[in-house]
Amino acid sequence: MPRPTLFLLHDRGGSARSWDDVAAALDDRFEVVVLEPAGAGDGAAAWVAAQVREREPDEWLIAGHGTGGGIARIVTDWAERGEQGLIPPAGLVLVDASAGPDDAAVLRTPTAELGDPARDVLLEQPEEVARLLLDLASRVVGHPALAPAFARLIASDRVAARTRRAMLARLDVPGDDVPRALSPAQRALLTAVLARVVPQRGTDLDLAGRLDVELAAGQGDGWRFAELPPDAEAWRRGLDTIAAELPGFADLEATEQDTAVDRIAEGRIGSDADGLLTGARMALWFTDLQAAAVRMWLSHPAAQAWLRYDGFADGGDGPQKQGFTTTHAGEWETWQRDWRTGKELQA
Amino acid sequence: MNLTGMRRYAESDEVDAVVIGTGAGGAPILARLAQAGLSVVALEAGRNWEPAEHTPDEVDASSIYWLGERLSGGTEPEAFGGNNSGTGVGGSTLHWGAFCPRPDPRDLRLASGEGVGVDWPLTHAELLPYLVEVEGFIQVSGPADYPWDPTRRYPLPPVARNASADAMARGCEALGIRCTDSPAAIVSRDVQQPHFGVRRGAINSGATHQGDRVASKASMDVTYLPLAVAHGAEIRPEAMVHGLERDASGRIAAVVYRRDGVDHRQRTKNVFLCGGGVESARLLLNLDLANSSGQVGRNYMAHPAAQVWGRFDEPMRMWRGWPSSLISEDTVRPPDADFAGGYLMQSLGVLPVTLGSSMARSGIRGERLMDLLESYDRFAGIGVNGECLPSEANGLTLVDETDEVGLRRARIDFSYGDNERALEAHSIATMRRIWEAAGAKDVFVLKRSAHAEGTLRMGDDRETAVVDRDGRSFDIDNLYVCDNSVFPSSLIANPALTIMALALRTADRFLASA
Repeated sequence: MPRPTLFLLHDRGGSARSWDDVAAALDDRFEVVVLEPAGAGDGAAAWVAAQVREREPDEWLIAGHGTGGGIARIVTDWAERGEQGLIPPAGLVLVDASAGPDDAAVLRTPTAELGDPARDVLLEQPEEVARLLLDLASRVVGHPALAPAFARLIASDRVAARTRRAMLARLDVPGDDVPRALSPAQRALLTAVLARVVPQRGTDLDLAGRLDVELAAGQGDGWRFAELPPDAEAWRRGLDTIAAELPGFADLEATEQDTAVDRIAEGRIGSDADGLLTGARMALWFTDLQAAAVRMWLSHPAAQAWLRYDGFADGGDGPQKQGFTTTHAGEWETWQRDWRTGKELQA
Repeated sequence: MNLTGMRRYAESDEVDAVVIGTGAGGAPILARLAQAGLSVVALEAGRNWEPAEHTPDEVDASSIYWLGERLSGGTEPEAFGGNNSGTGVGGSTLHWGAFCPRPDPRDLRLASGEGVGVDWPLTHAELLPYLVEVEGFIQVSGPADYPWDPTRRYPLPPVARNASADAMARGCEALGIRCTDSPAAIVSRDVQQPHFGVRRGAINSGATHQGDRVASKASMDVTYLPLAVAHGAEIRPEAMVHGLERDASGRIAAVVYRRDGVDHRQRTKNVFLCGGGVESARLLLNLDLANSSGQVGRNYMAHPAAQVWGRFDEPMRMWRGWPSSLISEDTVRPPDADFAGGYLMQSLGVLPVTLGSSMARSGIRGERLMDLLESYDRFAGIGVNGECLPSEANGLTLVDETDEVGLRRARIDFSYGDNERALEAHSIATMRRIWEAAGAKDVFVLKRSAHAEGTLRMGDDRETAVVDRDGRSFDIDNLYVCDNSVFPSSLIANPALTIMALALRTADRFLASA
């Protein structure tokens, strides 16, 4: 596997040489590219973005010292949103460059920081900085959220900004601070159920957590079964019914869980007790659960790559949308790949 | 669409007509009345879009779906949201499939021909000139020779077939079933659209379904609405109608709507209600208007619309090309049918989230779901639209829950009767045979229904219908309805073309009577 590329940005008044001692301590873990942007802000960041784009790294990290850190933050923010033709970086390192009050963007990229207002850490502790970089790399390298070729397609001019934004936002993992509709126990049970309903291939997403957040937000899909209460309440009752009628579900063998799931779907698990759902209502709720889980999974770009789907790449924001020039079986466009493997397509 | 420079009316102006909804029913009426020199205002619940703002992302595209919650009951509870109804200037036509067959004459005379259902109060011959006019104006693409109607001509050559269409054609040919390029409300090459500008030729994207960014698809915001605005109509987006004020004689005097949280009142001489099969009936039931027949909300119909999918050896990538590019009308009256009416068949390409959710709703889950989806790029589908008979058991009622403007929500009960069940089984068997003949493997069936029709039935008898053959309410003589709610029978053709034709006729009848 090729080494990840590490882009290094120096502080205002510094030079490429500022990173010499750090680079020397990095062994050969990275393809190191020391950049010397002029100035700061968006202009300098655009120049850096062009340098990154030109090298087309499959996997890259960026580190900045002082004002170089500010530039690295801007570039990372763009890349997370697929702007400037960039794919998201694997990691960001800030040295003596903690986020200032103007750095509003909350970044999803794994970030490591080191700084001491009293000293120039880069100059005085290059081994520390190198260790920070190597530590971060050991955690993040080799686990990209999206395969590089697919990430590059999303960042390309075949995809419009609105679409890119919607797709890449799904790479975010809901934090602990967002409202939830389910209790931890309900969510844990949902996780166990979904592992059998949608046994993901090509991804390992926390579908239960994502659905929980969605339920709390109350984003309906325009309808519900007349027999069921509003969505969040139906999900809570459905899960409570499983907990009451199938205790120990989470500890069953997978094949036993499958049998239990079949019985739920057939309406054979239910209860007349207050706050629970009857068998018939369970069967209805379960079709909602299945559909929601599949929707949540397939809307994630990594799942779409696994499907080998690229229908979202039908044109960018230019006046002419590229669309597709081939429509028949066995034909493909020159830019299309087997997105599951990243390989070229062959007849 | 471009609304700058549009003529604007004051709420205190008594306009000639207010049109509620800007979809396939409202837009042609708005244009026709404006062209006749009338002062007209359209109130649209959804926002205004430029075509380029739409997205091929399936989940994000829900911004053009009607997401106000509906409750679905019965043994075939209908899925709404992305299925059936839209919002935004252009209404559901923003996300219609653009599959554009004409209604079959036999389907308007189901009672006379087959002894079930009801006949339309108007004839196919009355509708035909309007169908042809709509096809010409929105510039439908289609085959040079239409096997089931030798006289038919389409303005533009057909759009490219996709892999599903090729495979379906292969299967049909082996079985002796006739098929051809589908009539598509998508332009197959760049064209000039009056008062809009250039509509680009199809870019062969399956995502065209959910908002066409190059305006190749004939949504109302790139066809009838620019025509209307050019002739002085005003369109007010994000205006949710929730009241109709009447004068002492019972005629409607003003339409009340909420915009940005504030209620407004537009004075008007006439109202055209074009909110679609669910919303039009929901409004009238909420206001307890135009219902001396007791028929408002009754006779709800949805097309049995089963799909049969198969896996092929070659990559099909069915998200390329217009999905519905092949049609067969050989099953409009199947010779061996044990049911009334028939069905239309079309090739299908469905995007992953919609198809996966549909599979999940059909009970496909776990490893089997994964095994099938592993070959998503090798799938091809065939789907149908079949006759649905009106039934006492099916209809729209109100529940106690209310929406954000205070209107009670709709509950739609829908169950198949024997006829729908027999038709569905026949259609599935036919589609299975086609896929077998075409060499498909892992064939699976998705049962579903589509379109929302019949809740404000049109007829000649004020005891059994809500509006007359001209779309005019029997109870309130300045209230007209035009959308799929007025359909007395379901027709098996997808409804949009018929609604547009009916809209032009409704407008003409109104103008003639005024």
